[in-house]
Amino acid sequence: MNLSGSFVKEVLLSKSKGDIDSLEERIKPHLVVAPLQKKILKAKNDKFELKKGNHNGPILKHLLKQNSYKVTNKISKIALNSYIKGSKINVKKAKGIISKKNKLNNTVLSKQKMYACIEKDHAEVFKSLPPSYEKMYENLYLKMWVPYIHQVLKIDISKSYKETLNKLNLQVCLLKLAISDYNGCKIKITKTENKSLMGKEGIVIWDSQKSFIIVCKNEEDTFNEIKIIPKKKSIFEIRVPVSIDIKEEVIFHIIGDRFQHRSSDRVGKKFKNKNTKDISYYIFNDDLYKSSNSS
Amino acid sequence: MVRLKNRYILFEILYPPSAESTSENIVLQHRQQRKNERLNITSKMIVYELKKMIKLYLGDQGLAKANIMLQMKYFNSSTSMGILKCSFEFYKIVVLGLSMIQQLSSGGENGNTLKSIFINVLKLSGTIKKLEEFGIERNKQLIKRINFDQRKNNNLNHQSTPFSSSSKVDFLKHTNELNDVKDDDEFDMM
Amino acid sequence: MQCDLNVPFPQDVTDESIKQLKLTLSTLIELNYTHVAINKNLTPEMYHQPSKKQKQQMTQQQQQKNEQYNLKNDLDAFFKYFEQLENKFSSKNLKLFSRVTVEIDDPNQLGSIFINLNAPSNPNRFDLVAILPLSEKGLSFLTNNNGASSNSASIDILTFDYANYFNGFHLKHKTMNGITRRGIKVEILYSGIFNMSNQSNLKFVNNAKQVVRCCRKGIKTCIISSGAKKNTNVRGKIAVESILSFLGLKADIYSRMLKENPLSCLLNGRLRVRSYQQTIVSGIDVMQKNDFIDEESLETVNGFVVAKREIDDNNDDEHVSKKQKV
Repeated sequence: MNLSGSFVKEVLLSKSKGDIDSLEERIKPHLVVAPLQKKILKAKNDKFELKKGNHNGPILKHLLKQNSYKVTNKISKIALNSYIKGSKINVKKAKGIISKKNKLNNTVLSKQKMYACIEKDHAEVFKSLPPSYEKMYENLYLKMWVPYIHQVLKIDISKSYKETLNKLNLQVCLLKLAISDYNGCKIKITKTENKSLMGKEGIVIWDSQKSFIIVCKNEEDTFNEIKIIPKKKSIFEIRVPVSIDIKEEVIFHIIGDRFQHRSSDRVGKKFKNKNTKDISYYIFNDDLYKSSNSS
Repeated sequence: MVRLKNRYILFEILYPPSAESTSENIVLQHRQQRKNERLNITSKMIVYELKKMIKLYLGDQGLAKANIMLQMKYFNSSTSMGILKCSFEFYKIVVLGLSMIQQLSSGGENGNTLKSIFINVLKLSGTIKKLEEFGIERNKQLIKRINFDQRKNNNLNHQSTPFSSSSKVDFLKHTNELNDVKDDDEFDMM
Repeated sequence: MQCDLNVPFPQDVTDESIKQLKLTLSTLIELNYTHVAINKNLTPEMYHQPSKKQKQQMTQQQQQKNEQYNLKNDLDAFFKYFEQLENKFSSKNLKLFSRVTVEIDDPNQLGSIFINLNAPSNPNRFDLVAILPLSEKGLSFLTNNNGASSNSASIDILTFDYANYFNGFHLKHKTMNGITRRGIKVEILYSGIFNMSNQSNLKFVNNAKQVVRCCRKGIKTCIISSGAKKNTNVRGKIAVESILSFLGLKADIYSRMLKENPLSCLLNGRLRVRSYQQTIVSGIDVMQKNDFIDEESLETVNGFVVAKREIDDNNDDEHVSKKQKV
């Protein structure tokens, strides 16, 4: 089909020098202008159409559409990052406020009173402090993670611990533990190359690829903090309670160098033995529980 | 300034036991000659055996190198410890020869041989003084170990000082049943 | 922390031979050694069951021996004695580990021995596994795909027979590189130098120099240990270093061959037994036999390590009432 029509005549040939008509006669048998293949438009859903009745124009369209996986990941990372930074700044501020008060009154406030004091006067600072360790311990650890692990390892709390442990197989339990999820678990660091990290305890908020993000259990006088602990070159200890009232616990420990995968990737992963050169600190460094290895 | 350097080697002779005994300490067992074979060891015997071993493993050339400044400075037959002097360039040859010694024999036709022996090299140093200090410290620790184990075996309740003079004499008696202590200098140094 | 990873367990178990073992262990304590592994040797006669044709060719004596010998009973007896020795030497500063060497002449004769030794259902597993090739075919087993590079046969150490000339195989750089890249370490036994009979001290120097040349002077991959069957063939630290310099190695490697390389080898072996592929381990420390914490009491039930806490009721109430209002 020759759709050239008036387009060629009016726009192209009118700007050339010679006779328009004679040029057109010469070009017509050779020049073919035809359209490209038709684009097949998708059937328009009613969801994504603008409903002209209620809303104003194009603002809603991008809100109705779902973001891709990459964009949501980016947004959530930024949000987590700003939350952690905000909490650190506010803990500093709170410490400053309380130290001033202690100087004025010559007293040392206990932890409950510190929190109560800040709640009254400085509400903004109080909002973005990190959550309390005790509340997390009750809700995340006791109510969420411990029953989950009992399901995974098939532990029955009602019986005595000797009966349940005698029925289980050690290698199968280790396999299941390597695949399971550690968000909400209570973790303690026993051996590292970085000596400032020794002895920290806390509950895991998020288990990223190369580090654990925990709410740290601090001493009596200070606030609870959020810490990011790298998995490299450190060993973490886990305890799984086997009886009611947490009287007896089974001890395991994780080697951080071999655990550097995202929690979602770890499910189908086949682990392999590697050269133990990078775990040499395991033998030579000191433990939390002992003073030094005897030579 | 370039000067002539020497190396001094501190060593001890150990007699590994051939019979098991639970009553005695490990430390005492290894430093005590066996009852069947007894030999009064002199420094000449050790140097003779050393040269023989070096000739076997490293030939005439090795023996000639090791023979520079080779001299036995001190040897105590009651505690079987000694100090040997050699040159700085070729001290490795002498140490190798010392660790290859397996028996000692007194020369001549009627000589006895003391078999199944080995020499344990303790320390190398450039001066004799540091070796003496090291030797004294080490003997103190050995006596502590003996006392500790004896206390365990006998279930003694009273506390005894780890380095009392009576225990020193007992230690020496055990090693070669010396009834008379000869020189005071020797006694104090080792 | 000195290590000696090869103290051979006697083949014929009598009272005298076990007495010799105990005496060697006590001299090792005197010379300041801390980690020692007792080695059980498995010859091809022990694990290979011959076919009918081969049975007809064997003499009557050999047939009788083959019928009387039972591999399982042998290994169980080994572990019994091992426990006795552990109990005796636990109070002194000596840690004992168990090890097995498998002599390979023809890799087709192997069968499923590695799977049996390493199976997770086996109650008694060896901490270290080693290989001794007797011919060129045995060496090729290590570089095969069906052989040592598969996951089912995980090997830690490679030794050689230093008392006889190598039976027709020539060590090449290519094979040794492929072996050491996977983390297998090569071992040198120094007790052959004291044996004057049969010219075995000359053969030892010959063989050891070949091995050292091939492993690029043994920086990362060599171990030294004594194969001492008698009391008198063991030496202290400085004497071992003089033997190494005699073989042509330089001074910065000595401490690695005595301390770091064998310890990492032990770690590899213990993690294989007690963990799931080196990620999660049970207990507190893999290298200790009995875990120990000062403040708490520990107990082992069926392989799990259980800690008992003594909680007072008063402390519990205070802990509960400290809820924060956030």
